[in-house]
Amino acid sequence: MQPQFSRRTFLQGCTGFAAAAALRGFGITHLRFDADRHPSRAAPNSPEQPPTNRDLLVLVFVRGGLDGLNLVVPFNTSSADRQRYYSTLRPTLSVPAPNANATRKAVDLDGRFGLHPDAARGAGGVATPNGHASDSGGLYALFERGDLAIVEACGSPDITGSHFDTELYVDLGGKQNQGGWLARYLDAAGEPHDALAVAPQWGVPPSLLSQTGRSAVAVPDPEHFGPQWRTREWTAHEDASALIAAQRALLEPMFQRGGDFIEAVGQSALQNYDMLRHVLETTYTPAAVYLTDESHVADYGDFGHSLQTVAQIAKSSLSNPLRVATIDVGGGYDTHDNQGLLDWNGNSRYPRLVANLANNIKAFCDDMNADPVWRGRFVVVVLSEFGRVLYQNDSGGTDHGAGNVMLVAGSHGNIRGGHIYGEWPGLTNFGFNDGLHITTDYRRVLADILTARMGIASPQINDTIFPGLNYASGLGIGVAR
Amino acid sequence: MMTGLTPSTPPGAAPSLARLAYNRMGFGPRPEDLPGMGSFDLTAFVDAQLEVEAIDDAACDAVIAGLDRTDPQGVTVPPPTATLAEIQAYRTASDAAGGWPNGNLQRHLWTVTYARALLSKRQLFEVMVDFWTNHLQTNFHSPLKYWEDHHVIRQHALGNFRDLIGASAKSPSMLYFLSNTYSDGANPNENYARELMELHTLGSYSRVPGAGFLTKPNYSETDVHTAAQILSGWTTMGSPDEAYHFNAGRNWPSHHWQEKQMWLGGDRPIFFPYGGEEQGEQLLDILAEHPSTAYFIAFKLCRRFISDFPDAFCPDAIEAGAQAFLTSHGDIRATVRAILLHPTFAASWGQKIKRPFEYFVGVQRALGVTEMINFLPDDWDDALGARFFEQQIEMLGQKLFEFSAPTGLPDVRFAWWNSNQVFGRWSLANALVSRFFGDQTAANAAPANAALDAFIAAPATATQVIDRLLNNFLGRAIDPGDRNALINYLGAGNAQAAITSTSPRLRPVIAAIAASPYAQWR
Repeated sequence: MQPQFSRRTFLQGCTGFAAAAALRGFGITHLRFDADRHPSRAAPNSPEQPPTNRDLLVLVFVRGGLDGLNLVVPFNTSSADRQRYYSTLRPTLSVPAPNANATRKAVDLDGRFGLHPDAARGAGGVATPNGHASDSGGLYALFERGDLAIVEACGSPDITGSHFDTELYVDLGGKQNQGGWLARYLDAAGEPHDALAVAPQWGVPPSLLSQTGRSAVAVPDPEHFGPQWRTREWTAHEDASALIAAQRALLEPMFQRGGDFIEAVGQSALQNYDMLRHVLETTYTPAAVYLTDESHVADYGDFGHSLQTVAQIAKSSLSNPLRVATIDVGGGYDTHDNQGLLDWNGNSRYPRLVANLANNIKAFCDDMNADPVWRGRFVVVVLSEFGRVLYQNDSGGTDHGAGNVMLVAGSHGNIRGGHIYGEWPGLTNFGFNDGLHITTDYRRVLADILTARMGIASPQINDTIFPGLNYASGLGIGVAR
Repeated sequence: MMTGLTPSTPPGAAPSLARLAYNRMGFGPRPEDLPGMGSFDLTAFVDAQLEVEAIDDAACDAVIAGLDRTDPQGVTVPPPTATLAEIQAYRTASDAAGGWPNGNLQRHLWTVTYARALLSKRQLFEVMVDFWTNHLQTNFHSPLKYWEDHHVIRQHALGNFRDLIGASAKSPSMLYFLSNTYSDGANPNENYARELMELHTLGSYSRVPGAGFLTKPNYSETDVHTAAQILSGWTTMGSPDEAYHFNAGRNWPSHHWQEKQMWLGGDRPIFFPYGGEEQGEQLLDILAEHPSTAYFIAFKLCRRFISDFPDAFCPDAIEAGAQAFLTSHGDIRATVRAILLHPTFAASWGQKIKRPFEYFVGVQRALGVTEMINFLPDDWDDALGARFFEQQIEMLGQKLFEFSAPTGLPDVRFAWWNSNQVFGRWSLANALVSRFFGDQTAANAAPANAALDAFIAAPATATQVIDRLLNNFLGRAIDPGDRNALINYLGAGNAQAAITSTSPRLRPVIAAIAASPYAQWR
């Protein structure tokens, strides 16, 4: 029944480069990359909620190159670093140390690193301008309760100065691969062909590009999925649903005339619509407040809405439960100029970018934790294609760099949070492109989670998911099931 | 060798070469184009389309000139030919009226661009405008995009490549979009310099066939930095109307007055003598003449016109395009001609699908519609008004002049076909039929409509109507079972049933054909 997609045979026939060239830049489709502002499968109470032997994995890809240095601030990693960061590298783009005589300053994590204060909005003692109902401590609260691990100086060995090349190589899990690593994870885990993988956005990123005929679902948001909602908008026709049904009866056989990409996606769209429509047409009341106000974020609230959609689908008791979700975050992370730092009254670009990530990840964790079924059963991983140059440029921004932080958020002890992992390379030597030296391959962090929490054995990492990684051991972030 | 890479043969018959040409070099045929497609000569068609100045487009120009440019606050948006000063004056007036000048300028440019795609006889030119708009992507984060469309993109869309990138390098919209306007010689901003080489000209890795193809870097990171220094001082800063100027002086952002050298993948370094603006001109000359640029542009044009995977499907067409580019020193017409007349073009059915812009306009053209939606009015109360269609376009992800990554929008099917597209195109087809042929309401599901009756040549039998629709939208035979199902539905079981605009199943069947998988191929 499940057709083989043309892209499978097609991509296999191409050179890796031909495939890569075709896919390049497509992960950021529909993403506000550098904009500043501006038959029913529902089976309630199925025993497979969530799948028994693995957590739900939510991959958050910050597209554009997050300035991790100002998110997790190395205020006291060494006296040389301190001098470099505050005086030489970032004279006007550095977050004051926790003990500085300043209202807005870093929030101490471990005596060495501190969080940008907008990653700790609402935490006790943290000045929080432009307050919002979603300010509940952000990443700081997660870290303090052991639900957030931070990994320093991560990156890809395939890094180039190009967003588009590097993003694609990360999506593929290595530049020599021709399909997405998340899709290969589903293969390795032995998930059924129709296992639910959702990109709660306009398009599906290459990490879910399958070479084995899987089809991920793009769900822009609950109200914008399927033909019904729009029908209500374009006509007052009292019999609109009958009309749609009649059209579907004409279209569905056409989608079955061929088994190739166009037809196969059409078939799976209709199947997934049947499964998800009852979920998405139901009003969802999250158990935590997401941050989607345009007065606070620069992506029109897309990220918060997307995470909320993930929670809504996850909690909906589908007999085919959500296995993985991935979200591309945009809104201006490519901060070449006028990056902003701490100010909410003037140039608030960077504070908005940080608040969007921090408040919404916290909200998602709280929302999911409110459902006992999901407590301890989900992991959120945040990564970006590269960090930024260690020093600021003359236009108040930072250019493309190298090493960067990764974040792993968990729940009720499924990860060892409250620690900063990874080998800190220091700020006294420049890595690639004058960025931070890369000391941890981002795939080791992912492999750590996959082996500890997602039912994957180590050999499957090297054989299937990340061929060539030579993965031997993780960082100890995931708590083995 | 390449046949195994053909992704698919779409179900149903293949279209004629004429139909393929209308789909790929334009936005699909209009009903009035159909009679002339019987005697089709590809070479003559391409040459006529390339000789764009000789095409009488007065009717389309008159429609554009007659568009209502009154913005929601009652201020008049300047015409697309506006100068920087006129755009500035509009911004001031719109701001004072409490309006959103960038959004209004963008919406009028949508209307103009969609209207030209719908009505212009210069179809290939419009496709090339879209191509370069994406190749040299900027957006309405700056209102200066409005100026760039007319004075840079349209000015050079079928001109010379060196002139095009030269104009782009000095385009205020580009100077802002890729930050070069802030680039100071002492510590330059590398954003534009990098994308100029990576995206606009050379590509990151050599595109010249042979050893090093897609593996040998075209430039080093040092080259990026040096190029940024060379281009420092190319700015709008300090200009009253935000026009380009070269800042030779000491004030920020000033030029880096040093002699320089770059590697650029060659055997020996390239020297840039001590100088100012001429260093940047020299760099643009070198990039425009670089062989990798010729192959990269030819590759992208082949991807646009022939296949999602040109390296695999049509390397000979890339070669032909690149050779034309090199021998003509960047003549865009010669390059496009070599690619479109390469035999792989005619053999490329099934290699491309429509993107939402082509789909939207293509449906309208197949319907014979002559009116374009004016996107400027703030008409939220109109259920089938401009704002509604703007939302539809946004849902489909191809809002023109909005994409914020400098790559421009993708041009491969994986980016443009997923569950969201399946439903979005289906809904859009219903909406367009209702908008132009009378809405289907609770009171009247099939209002009499003269335009619709003319479109189907009513009265006609269900069979005649379906065959006419299939010819308008597809021009090729579909699976007989699908055709029979359409006839059976429309005639409610009677293939000879008389159909008019008052037949309640007519509008739904038109939209179903427009939304069908058959109609997604370009």
